[in-house]
Amino acid sequence: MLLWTFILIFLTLVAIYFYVSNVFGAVSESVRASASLNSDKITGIINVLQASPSVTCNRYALPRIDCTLRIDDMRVNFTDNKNQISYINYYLQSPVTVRTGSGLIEIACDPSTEKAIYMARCGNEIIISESAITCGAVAC
Amino acid sequence: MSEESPTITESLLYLIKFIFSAGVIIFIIIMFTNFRPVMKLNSMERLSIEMAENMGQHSLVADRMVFDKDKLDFYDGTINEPYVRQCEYGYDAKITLMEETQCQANSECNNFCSNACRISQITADNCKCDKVCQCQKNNAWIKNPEWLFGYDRHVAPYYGEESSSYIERTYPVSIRIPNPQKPFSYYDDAKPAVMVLSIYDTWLTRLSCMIETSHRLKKTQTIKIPCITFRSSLSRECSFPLAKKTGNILCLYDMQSGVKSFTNDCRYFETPFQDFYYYYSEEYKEKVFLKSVPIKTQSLLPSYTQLCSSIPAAAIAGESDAVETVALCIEKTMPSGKTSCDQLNAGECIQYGYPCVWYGHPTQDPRGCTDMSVSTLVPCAYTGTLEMYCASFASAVCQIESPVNSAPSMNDRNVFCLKRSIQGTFIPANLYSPSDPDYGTYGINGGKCLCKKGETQAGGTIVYRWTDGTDYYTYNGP
Repeated sequence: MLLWTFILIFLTLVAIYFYVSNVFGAVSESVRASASLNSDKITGIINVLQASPSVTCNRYALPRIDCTLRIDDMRVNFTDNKNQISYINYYLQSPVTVRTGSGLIEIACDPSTEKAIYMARCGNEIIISESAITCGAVAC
Repeated sequence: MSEESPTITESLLYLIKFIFSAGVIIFIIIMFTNFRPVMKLNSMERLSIEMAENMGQHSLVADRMVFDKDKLDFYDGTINEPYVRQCEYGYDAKITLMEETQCQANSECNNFCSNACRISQITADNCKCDKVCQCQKNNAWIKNPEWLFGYDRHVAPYYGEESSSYIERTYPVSIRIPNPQKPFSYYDDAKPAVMVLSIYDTWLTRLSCMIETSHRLKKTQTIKIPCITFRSSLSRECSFPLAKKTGNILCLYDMQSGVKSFTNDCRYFETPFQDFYYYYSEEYKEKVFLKSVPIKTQSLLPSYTQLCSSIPAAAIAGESDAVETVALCIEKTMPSGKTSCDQLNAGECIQYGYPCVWYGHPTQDPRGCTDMSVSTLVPCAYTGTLEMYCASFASAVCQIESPVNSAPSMNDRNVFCLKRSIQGTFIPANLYSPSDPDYGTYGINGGKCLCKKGETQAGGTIVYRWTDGTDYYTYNGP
């Protein structure tokens, strides 16, 4: 009887160990790849930059998944290409304008390497770019 | 040799062992069952904080989080969302000065009253001292000056079926009120205040954002059509009326005797667009699509646009065109292999959002659907559960904008709709006679078609009243 109990407890602990590590792995993966969360976070950064002093910079690392980030004159659109999930968030409109070059920034994430998006408040505008930004004479 | 039966202790231990083993197995199965993580982003809460941060930073303020009284005065009582706004969500801000002004005589309150209530002619009726200064603003006595501006959602005469959401958060701020005794000094002129910021997510904010996005990005936007039900209407009726009340004030409205009755759900909105209305049964919501289309040449639009197919391609703005206005329209799809709503059977009518049309007696099978286009003349004589569409046809007839010089003919759809008894027996129009109780229930008033609408009162009595057809007849038939 005692032996049986020990065997069962041992099996239970092994199962819990594998379960917990799997669950945490899956949750962190789904959070990392979440279109809504990524879109929300990038929108939040743009909103906060609008209320920040000039030469405030931010680098946002894109997840290593098959995804596409589009930022236009009004909104942030993050698409998880693998699961075909797209999420759009509108950022605030204020006297600080958001400069997206030709009106649209489109960045394809790379599952093999880490890509990042750079955002900086420079004077009365926010510059968004795929490469590091120089704000006036100051490099971010 | 006889077999020994187990003792009670052995049986009990065996039972415990069995339950324990089964429990472990079930536990392991549950653990490896599929799960789906759900994230709650609290977007509106976060937006409220970011909005407050931005409002405290930009042009409304004299310094960071110190609001300028003159600018607050300028926007007080308006529905503007000045300097900072979010396309999808509307907001209103109520900023209240925290300190009261102590006094012993009315004359000590003049400065308070002119500042707090912006009174130019101060009298004892609008400005008084009752230990603290008080003045009259919007027919109420106030002790703490307050400023309110933003999206006008504080009185809602109706609610969308899909619940609107809103959050309210309070932030500590200051207001700079210059001291007239020390005009060149900044000492003691920042007064403590609180700002209550409410963020709203409603159909009006979403629709206004959809139109604005089409205009700014020159792209057609699409949503599944919601159901906005007016309280005054009977159930199962959805209406979708959107227009500018005046200037840049966008509102939802209701039709009362052919006149737009604007609700208090209004938003400051500068984007030009074509007024739009659409009436439909609740069962068709989420089955048709509402689109906002950027238009480069407004003159190419038909006088009345409801279906997207009626917008000529030449009128739609491309990326290099300037957008003159934005048109809202309804788009429906067809099952593969079918090109016209007449080819749909009853089930497909419901599935694809086309109202079914019954001809003649209610026991007859439906013969097809209609796209509810104004130009489609469909006899409407069904007395069953889909009878409301009769009224919607009547609505179409009655919404002819040019004056109607003669009474509608007996074959007009609105007249057909009226030709039924309250018992549900269909009376063909040509059998209608002056002796019928409803005879003459159509006519002209102010250049508009009128017909009679029956409403079931408590106890089952049906009361008729005149209507211009812009509201529905929802008699459910026998």
